[in-house]
Amino acid sequence: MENNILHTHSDEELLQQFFATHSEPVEDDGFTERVMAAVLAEQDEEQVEALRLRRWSCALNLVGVLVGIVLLIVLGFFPRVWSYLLELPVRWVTLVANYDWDNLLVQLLLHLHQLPEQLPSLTQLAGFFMVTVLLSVLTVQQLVRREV
Amino acid sequence: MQRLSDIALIAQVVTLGSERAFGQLVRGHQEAVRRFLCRLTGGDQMRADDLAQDTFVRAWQGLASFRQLSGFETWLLRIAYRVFLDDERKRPSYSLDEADDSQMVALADNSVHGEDGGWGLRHDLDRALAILPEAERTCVVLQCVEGQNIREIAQITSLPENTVKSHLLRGKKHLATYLRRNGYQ
Repeated sequence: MENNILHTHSDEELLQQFFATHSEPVEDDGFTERVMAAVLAEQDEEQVEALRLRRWSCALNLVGVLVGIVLLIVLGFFPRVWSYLLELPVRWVTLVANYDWDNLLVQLLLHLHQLPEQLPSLTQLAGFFMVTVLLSVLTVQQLVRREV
Repeated sequence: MQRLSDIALIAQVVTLGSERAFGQLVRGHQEAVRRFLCRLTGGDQMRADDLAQDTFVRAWQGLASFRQLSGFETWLLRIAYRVFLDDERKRPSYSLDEADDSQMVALADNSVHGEDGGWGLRHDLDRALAILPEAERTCVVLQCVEGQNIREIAQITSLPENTVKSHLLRGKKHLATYLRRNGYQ
């Protein structure tokens, strides 16, 4: 039994030594170029067009997101939201402290009446909406072309 | 654990169809795939390169199905093994799978005293591996040459782990016997 265990250990060492001394690097020698040529040859026209549309769609999505962020910054959306959020706890504390429980409905309506002053104007919202619609139309056009 | 560069390259190939990213993947893993196939084909580098090319073409076509449940190299070697088996089925050749112990040792002795006296390193290695049946040879190559563990070998060969262990035990024993008979200590 001990002999078998010793033999197994020395077998492992023997094999490790053998494989270590018989390993040779495999140089590329243009193999990658041949593979890529074969890969490109495999692609048919439909796949190439699908790839082109996929890249176009990704680029369009990225542009849409960037334009949206820029518009929000230009329209001053973030500072307004941030200041509103900062004021919110104070408003609520003040509201609760001065709250007239007998006039709950009146208080709620008063708060809702003041809310529109914090939001972007209708003009600003319309501009944002139009840009979103334009980008969506462009995307749909590309998808329709792909179907055709 | 996946190399971060592999994950980034795979993401570029899958989302953008980037051939440049796939080329980098090929360059990074071609050595392991070609070396593995060369050992399976008994040192026939030309055949191994053809099979390796098919492997990477299939990988390109199926990369979207790579789920990162195994390493990328393990996934490639799995494809390579299947490509090899498909090619083997088309070839009419004697199968060593039914050879028993005494026949394998006899084959080893014959290969030692063959006409070709050249003992290049690769010849030594391929002659040594040639004494093993295909399944044992595959498992030994995957562990001893490619450094795959038993779980990965099981994934590559689609064999149960216990079967892989059994193949490794038998294969290594026969290989060690052959090496000792040929003067390796």
